[in-house]
Parts: sequence; structure tokens; C-alpha cells
Amino acid sequence: MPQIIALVEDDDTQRANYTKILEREGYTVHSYGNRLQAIAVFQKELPDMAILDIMLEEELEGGFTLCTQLRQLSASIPIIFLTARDSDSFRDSGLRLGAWDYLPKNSKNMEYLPVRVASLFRIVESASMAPTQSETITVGELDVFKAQHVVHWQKSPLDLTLTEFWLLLALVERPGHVKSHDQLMEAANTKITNNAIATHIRRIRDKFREIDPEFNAIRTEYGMGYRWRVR
Amino acid sequence: MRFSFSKISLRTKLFFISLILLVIPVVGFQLSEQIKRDLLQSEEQSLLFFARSVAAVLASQPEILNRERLHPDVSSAVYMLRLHHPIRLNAKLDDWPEIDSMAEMLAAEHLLSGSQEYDFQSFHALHMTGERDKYIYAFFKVTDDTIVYRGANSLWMDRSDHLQVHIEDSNGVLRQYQISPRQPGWVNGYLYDDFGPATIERNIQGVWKESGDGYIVEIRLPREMIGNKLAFALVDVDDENSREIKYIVDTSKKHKNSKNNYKNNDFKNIKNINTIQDPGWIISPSTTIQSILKTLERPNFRILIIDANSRIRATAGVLSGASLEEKRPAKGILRVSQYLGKLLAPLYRIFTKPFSEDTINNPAPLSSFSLDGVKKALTGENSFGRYMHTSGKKGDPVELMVATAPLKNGKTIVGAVAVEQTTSSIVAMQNRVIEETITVAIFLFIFGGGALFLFAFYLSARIRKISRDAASAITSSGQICPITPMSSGDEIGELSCTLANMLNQLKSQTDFREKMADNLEHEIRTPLIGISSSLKNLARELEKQPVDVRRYIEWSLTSVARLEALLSDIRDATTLQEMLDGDQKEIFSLNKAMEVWLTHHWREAFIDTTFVYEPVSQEILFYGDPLRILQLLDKLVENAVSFHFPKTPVVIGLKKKEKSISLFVSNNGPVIPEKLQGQIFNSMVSSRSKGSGKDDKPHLGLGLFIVRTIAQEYGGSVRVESMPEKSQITFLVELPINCSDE
Repeated sequence: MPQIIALVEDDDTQRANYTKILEREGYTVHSYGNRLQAIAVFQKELPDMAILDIMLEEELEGGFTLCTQLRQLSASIPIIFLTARDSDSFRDSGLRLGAWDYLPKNSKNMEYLPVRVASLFRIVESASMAPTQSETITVGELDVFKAQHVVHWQKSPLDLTLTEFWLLLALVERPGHVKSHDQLMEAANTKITNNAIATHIRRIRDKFREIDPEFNAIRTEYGMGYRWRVR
Repeated sequence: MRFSFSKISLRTKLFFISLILLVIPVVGFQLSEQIKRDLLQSEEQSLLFFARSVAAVLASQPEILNRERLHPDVSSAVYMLRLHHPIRLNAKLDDWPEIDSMAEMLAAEHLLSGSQEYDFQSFHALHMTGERDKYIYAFFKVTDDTIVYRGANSLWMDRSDHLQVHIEDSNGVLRQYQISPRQPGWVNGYLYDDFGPATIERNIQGVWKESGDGYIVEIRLPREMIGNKLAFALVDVDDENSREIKYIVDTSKKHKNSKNNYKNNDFKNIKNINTIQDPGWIISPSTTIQSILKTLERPNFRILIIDANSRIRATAGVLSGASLEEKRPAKGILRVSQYLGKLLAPLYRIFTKPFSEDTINNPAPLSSFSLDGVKKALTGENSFGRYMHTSGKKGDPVELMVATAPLKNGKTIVGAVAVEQTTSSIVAMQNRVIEETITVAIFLFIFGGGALFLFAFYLSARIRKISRDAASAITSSGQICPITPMSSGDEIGELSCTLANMLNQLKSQTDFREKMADNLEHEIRTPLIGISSSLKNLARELEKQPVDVRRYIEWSLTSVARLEALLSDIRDATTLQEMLDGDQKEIFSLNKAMEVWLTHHWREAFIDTTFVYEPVSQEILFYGDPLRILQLLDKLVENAVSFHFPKTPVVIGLKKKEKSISLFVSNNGPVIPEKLQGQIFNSMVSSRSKGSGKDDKPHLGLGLFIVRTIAQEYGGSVRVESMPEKSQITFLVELPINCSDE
């Protein structure tokens, strides 16, 4: 049975195109033009995943409202924000509301969208499976469970978004090597600005420091990129 | 350097203008002079009037004038000075008052007879008569080349140098006494008798003493011996053998033209007259007239009655230099001005005239000036004059005003009335006017000028504030800081408001332009995504596309990608401030970073461009986000690369200064128009001409805006330097050192 993706997007052209892209990958897409239509259906039947625009017709932050309502209905459903609103504050708000990822709209991210959706479904699937040794990368106190997209630092789990996970993975796959901004974007299946990369890295560091205030393993390489420092 | 008034500050100008207040004392000074002149003139009139009225009062009582023998022809009179101090008979004249002015010279004019032509050097005498306590005193200071005394056994009283005293007693009997000593010393008078030997009169006694050039006789005789007439005669004998009388001078009569007579060798005519026939009247200051004058007396005036022989016959009044007004107790502002007056006393002294407050001795002698007036009066003229008088007690000169009027008895001028007054009160008034003017001027200057100066200071400060505000409203990198308009509603306040409004409008325009970028980005992105997603779907739908179609789709997607890059740039710029707030700052070596960036970033990104960089050996540490500094330099390098002339290098540099780090990127290229130099750091301003974009990079004029924003975030600044002669443009970023080397 194909997985159901709910797409809430007020722009008709985009909605049609996204639907087409995702349907081509074999997903069932239920698309909605505004928040009220969507929530009406969600209350009867939950989709497997929700892709939300933030600005919905007259509601400037309709996506955020919808995300909150959806989280009340289900704590585990993957939610992605796909929006033209590309700024730190929006990204922070979205992720704080329980979204799994936040994608700025551009043509590159559109291409990456199926990959991202697939990865998220895999994460959902693998969450129930036991971690296997072969898929684990261990660098110092860091353990990365690739299949489950789970990261442990000093044996404590970190709650990373998909983009953040991919960025961290890129750094720790070859510890000590500098990853440029472009390389990191490639690895994270996204096209964002250098500043946005910096923001992601900052957020990753913050999450590490919640566990370990002394965390200092992700190094900036004179602003040209980042590397995972091996002790 | 040429002096120009327009270059002086407003404050200084107003200060100079306030100096005009200093004219006030000058005007006051002139005014006081005018007042003084007018006062003197009116005083002159009143003084003359006073003199004439005194003359009129006296003229109305001819019997008094007659009794006091005020006639023009009493020239032979002996003037009896009233002596206020005792006289010691010692042939010393220091106890006689006012010899200089009062003593009479017995010389040619008084020559009664002579056997030879009169020789002043050979014989003359100074003489004075006075009265005190029932005695009459007289002295004769005789200058005589040869003193001949009476022979030791001679009974002849009149064959030697001797003094004759002619008296008419109260019964009208004439007597002659002779003082003819045998040697100097105590002497007595001898009553002369034509027919018998002289008898001694002990009531007439005196001292005969030789002096260097003659002898001095000082005698005393009781007043009661004499009626109303008295005369003295001095007889000179120079030849001891012949004992011939050489000259006789007397007090009785002025023998006019006698000199001429002798010149004609005709002195024998008068040789016979060797004795006085009629002694002159005794005249003395008149108590009667004095008492009349007392009734006319006014304070601060002195009235003198002078007879035809210029002798003072009566005086009244005291001349005092003290000003008439009493000192009032000062109140309020007057007290302040009095206090100020004390402070300013040295200043007053420069402008005011000193005057003596001396009281002039009474009676005072006549000065030569008064004598002139008296002479005029005797010819029937009124006169007025001023002279300095130095006989005050303190010796300070006192200025006196004198008005003289003729004194008439019937139609005959018998003397003169002189009224004197010191000018002290007028000078005092003038001084007071000057002092008050100075005080007022200084008050005005201090308060008025002070107020003016403060106002000027206030105005100037406000104008300066506006000027400062205006100057700092637009920073060197083109940022606009609105100013707070002044609250006052005057012209300067309005100017300030206008300026503030202008700046606010300018700022809102700039803000709008910056915001417009943000809005535009969002509005364009949405349809663009529609286009790109449609194109991608289209490409997927047409699995087996013809080559042409695939190419068109690729081109379209390339264009979309370029548009998206452009939008990303805008996003970078518009969200920059937000990004800066989240910067991950760390201490890093700026010089090492520069080398890394140059090698791995710019040289790789711009393969065709030559970069020149002088490595810095010294470690330069900086606390900041390397990404941000790289972004800043990236924009400058991109800018330099896109503007540099082909085959010229782009020079990158780093310098550590005392308090700051200086980063610069310099290239040879077209010079930035001067009017753009302050603006190019603003958002969406570019000096790039249209169509010059050969490369495929979008240019929105955001790069330098980013540079400015980052530099300011780090407390630094950015500026551009153009050197048109070398076609060189240098962008300089100054960042403060924010971490020490340790």
C-alpha cells in the first residue's frame, strides 16, 4: 500500500508540480490549498507524512498553526516545511514546533525532495529495528547509527533533523578532513546559502553542548568549511 | 593670511559687537564735561550777580563807606593788618603773616626827597604795619649799602639813618618821633622838638638789628597814642662825614612820576620837603562792613571788599572744598553700586579730576589773579576768572572762581567786591556723573554684554549642534542616523526640524529600498519555483525528448538557476543582520586565514586574475566569525576582480596598527565617481554601467552593503580611496583590535 503524503500549498502551479513529482515516485499525494481543508481531513484520517508551506493564502503563518494542530493529533508523523521563507527565525520556529525538516524552496531542493521523503520514511521504518553494528560509525565519543539516522554523543542521543544528520555524517565519515560549504550541501541533499550552512552547524553544535558544554569537535576552517576534529 | 570678518565665529562676532557698550562711558564723560561747562557758566553768572548785589548793598550806605574811608584818594593811608598771633620784638620777621603779599615796598614811588638820583640798590625798604591787643606793630626791612649811626656824642637825631614816626593824636595834635640809634639793639622813640632837645618816649620801643644787606627795625607803640592818622618815614644817610640826607622814603603818599623828576636832575625841587606834613589815615579791615557782609554771606562763598589800593578791607565767609550734599544711607541697588564704586575707585581716578576738600585760610591774601580782577573793577568793569589756589591746609591746589564788581560810592569807584567760590562742588558733581556713568556702563557691560555673550554662546552652540548633527547624520559609509529635532520653535528649531524631516525621509527611502529587495525576493521566488518545477516535470514527462527541446529546457533551467542565485544574494544581504547576531565568534589568526583564503579560495575562484599579497610575519589574532570576515573580503575581492583592468594585479593587504587592523583590497580600474563614493556602500547602489556585466554573476550593488554591515558589526569602518592619476581604487576596512596577543 503506497504511503500517503499530505501536501498543503496555496500556489496552484507549485501544488500540481509537487504532486506530480511525488506521485512519480509512487507516493499517494493528497494536496490541499489552505489550512482549513487540510485540518478537516487530518482530523478524520492522518497521512503518513505532511509537507507544509508556511504562508497559506491569507494566513501568514498558517503552516505553523497547521503543524501545531497536526502534532496534537500525532506525535510521530514526519512533517516537512517547504517554504520560500528562508530565514533563521522561520526555520527555528518551524523546527521548534516539531517539524522534522525545513526546506527553502528552490529548484535544487525540488530535485532533492523525493530523496528526502524516502529518507524520512526509512527513518520511520528503521526506528523500530535494532541498530546493527555494520551501519554504525564511531569517532571518539560519537556514535552514528546510519540506518536509524540516530546520533549518540557520550552515549546520549542527539535529536537532529535530517539535514543536520546528513551534515554531521559528511563531517564524520572522513574525520579531520575539511568539508567545504558546497560539499556539505551536496551531502545534505540541499541547496542553501553558506549562511544557512553556518546556521545548521551552529544548531548542531548547540545540540552537542546541551549534552556536553565542553563540546568542541566541529571546527571552522577559516570560514571556508568545517571539519571534525579528532583528538 | 588675510583677515576676514566673515571667517570669525558667531560667538566672537557678537562679542565684538557687545564692545559697543563701551561707548556709554565715553558718552557719559562728554556729557559730564558739558554739564560742568554749563554749571560753571551759570555759576559764573550767579557769582557775578552776587558780587554786584553786594556792591549795590554797600553803595546804598555811603555813610559807612565814608566812615571807613573808602575813597580812591586815600592812597597815603597806612594799612593796619589785624594780627592774629603775638609778635615778638626781635627783628625777626617769621611771626609776621603773609609778608609776601601784604608787605609794602618803600622805594622810588615813596621817595619824599633825595639829594641824589634814586638808586634802588642803595636804599629801599619792605614795610608792614599791624595791630594786636591795643598795640600797633611795624617792621622795616631796610636794604642800605652803608649804615650810618648817630655819633657817640651827637645830639643830632636827624644826621644818621633813622626812622621817623608821625602821629596825629585823638586831639588832632601832630607829633614826630625819631628812632635814631647809636648802635643796633633795643631802641626807643624820641619826641622831636624843633626848638629843644628830643625827649625819650618809652612807649615807642623796638629792636634795631643789622642784616646782611642793611638793617631791620621792628617797633611797637600803644594804639591809644594815635588818633586816626599815622605815617612812617625812613631817612638814609650814607656819608658819615657830611652826614647829608641822601633819601627819605615815607608811607604817606605815593609820589607819582617822581622817577621822571629825578631823571631831569630836578630833585632839588623837592629837597626842601624833608618831613611829612600830613600823616596818612590808618585804615584797617572794617568791622562794620564785615558785619554787613555777614548778613549777605552764603555757605561756600567768600566775599572780599578791596579798596582802591588793593587792600582787603573786609571779608566774610569760609571757602570750603567739601561738597555740599550730605551722604545718604544707601539702600538696595544703591548699596550694590556703592560697593561697586569702591571696587572701581582706581578706575574712577583715571577719569575724574581730583579736588581738594581743604578749607582755605581766612582771611586769604589776594592773588595776582584777583588783583587783575580788582584793577578791572576799579576801572568799572565786571570780571570773572578761575585760578588755582595752593594755600589750603593740606597744600593741595584748589580751583577758585572769582567774580569781581566795582564798588561805588555815588559815582566814584572806591573799591571792588570780589566773590570767590571753589569749583570743588562742581568738580565733585562732574566726578559723580562720571562715576555713575562708569558704574552704569560697567553694569551694562557685565550684565548686558554678559547676557548678549551667553545668548551668542547659546545660539552658536545650537547652530553647532545642528551642524554636528548634520555632519554625523550620514556616516562616511553612507548610513543614515536620524537626528532628534530641537524642541524650541524658533528659526533654529525649525531648521533642526526641517533637517530631521529631510533625514527621516531619506532614511525611509533607503529603508524602503532595502526592504524592497526582501519583498521582491519573496515575490519573485514563488513564480520562479512554479516555472522550475514545471520545467522539471516537463523534462520528466518527455522521456524521449528531441535534442532541441532538451536544450531549451536546459537553457530555461540555467536561467532559473541564475535568477535563484540572484535571489539568494538578496536574501544574504537582507538577512545579514539576523545572521550576524548568530555568528560563532572565535579567536583566529587573521594572517594565516588570509593565506588560506588566497590559496584555496580566491586564486581558485578567479584563475585569470593575479593576486598580490605581502604575507605578514607577525601573528594577527582576531576575535570573530571567520566566515563573516571571509564574506567581507569575498565581496571586496569580487568587486576588485570585476572592475580591474585585464593583466593588472589585485592587491590584497593586511596591516596591524596600534589600535586597529587594516584590511585592504586594491585594484587598477575605472575611478568611482566622487558623488557615488559615499553611497556605494548603500544597498542596491552600484557604479557599474549598464551592459558591462560580461561575467555571468548577478550584480545588484549588494556586495559593498554587506561589507559595510559586517565592518560595522565588528565596530569598524570601511572607506574607499580613489587615486585617479594611477586609476587605482582601494577599499580599506578598519577593524578594532578586540583580542590581545597573549
